[in-house]
Amino acid sequence: MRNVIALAAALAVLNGCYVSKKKDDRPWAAEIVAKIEVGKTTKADVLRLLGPPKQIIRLLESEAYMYIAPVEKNSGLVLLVLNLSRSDRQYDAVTVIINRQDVVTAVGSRFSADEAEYGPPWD
Amino acid sequence: MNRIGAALLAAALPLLGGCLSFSLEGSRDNLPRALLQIHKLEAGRTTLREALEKLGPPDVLLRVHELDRLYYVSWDSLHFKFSISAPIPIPGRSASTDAFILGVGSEEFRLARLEFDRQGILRYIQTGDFSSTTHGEYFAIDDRIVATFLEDRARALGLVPQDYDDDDLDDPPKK
Repeated sequence: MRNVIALAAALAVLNGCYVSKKKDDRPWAAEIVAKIEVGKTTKADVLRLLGPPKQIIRLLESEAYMYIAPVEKNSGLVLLVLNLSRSDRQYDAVTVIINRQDVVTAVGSRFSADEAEYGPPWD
Repeated sequence: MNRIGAALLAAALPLLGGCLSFSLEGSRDNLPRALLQIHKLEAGRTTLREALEKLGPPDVLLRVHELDRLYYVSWDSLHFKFSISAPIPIPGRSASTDAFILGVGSEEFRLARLEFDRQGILRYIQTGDFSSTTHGEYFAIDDRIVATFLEDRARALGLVPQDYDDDDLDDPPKK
């Protein structure tokens, strides 16, 4: 009988429990980004390796190709009158700077999308 | 008597579930890792290439006047809210009102702004940690960097018309 009560209580508590994950685009492998060489790789190579960028930004003497793939993890618990929720968004991102001669002059990458976490709100 | 009170409270809680609410919401956007590397940069010497190698991709990038501006940001917040909602008895319609009782929270916003000249040399670095009040107003020694960031982000996202020359950034709108 106690087990049934405990199970019923657990089900009642877990009734308001949720986790969700939102993931944008396809993340690029670090090995692919490592193939981009400053002074050698061309705009055509970048497009072949990474595909079309999410955003192209015109700069003073160049243009920036922005590749961004966010991962957002949401978790929450609704206990009758108490709601706990947490959202964590992290990014995989690559920025490639290409000059007017269509050659890469700078590149920066970050792979931290996997570090998005579920957890309590205060984490 | 205590038992009866506890039983009544336990019975009332599910009924109040829809109109009485305590909520604790945490939110994190981006890790401040890049911001911890800012000290490795040196105005007048560091190039855009070196900055991207050390800090990684910026969160916002745009051209402003004769400079290329990069932002690195991270956001962390925790908010507690206590609210009561009550149904409004309008015949034939479903309506309720929210009586907001209490809201407290903390928000931490870390930001770095880098500006590069036409030659790709770092000309300007500004960093700061900003906290917000429960009313959403940032308090810091100089909060113009936050206001400028919000404006630049809206421009970069195309939420406001983008003028690549940015000649009108600081000027009043022409009639």
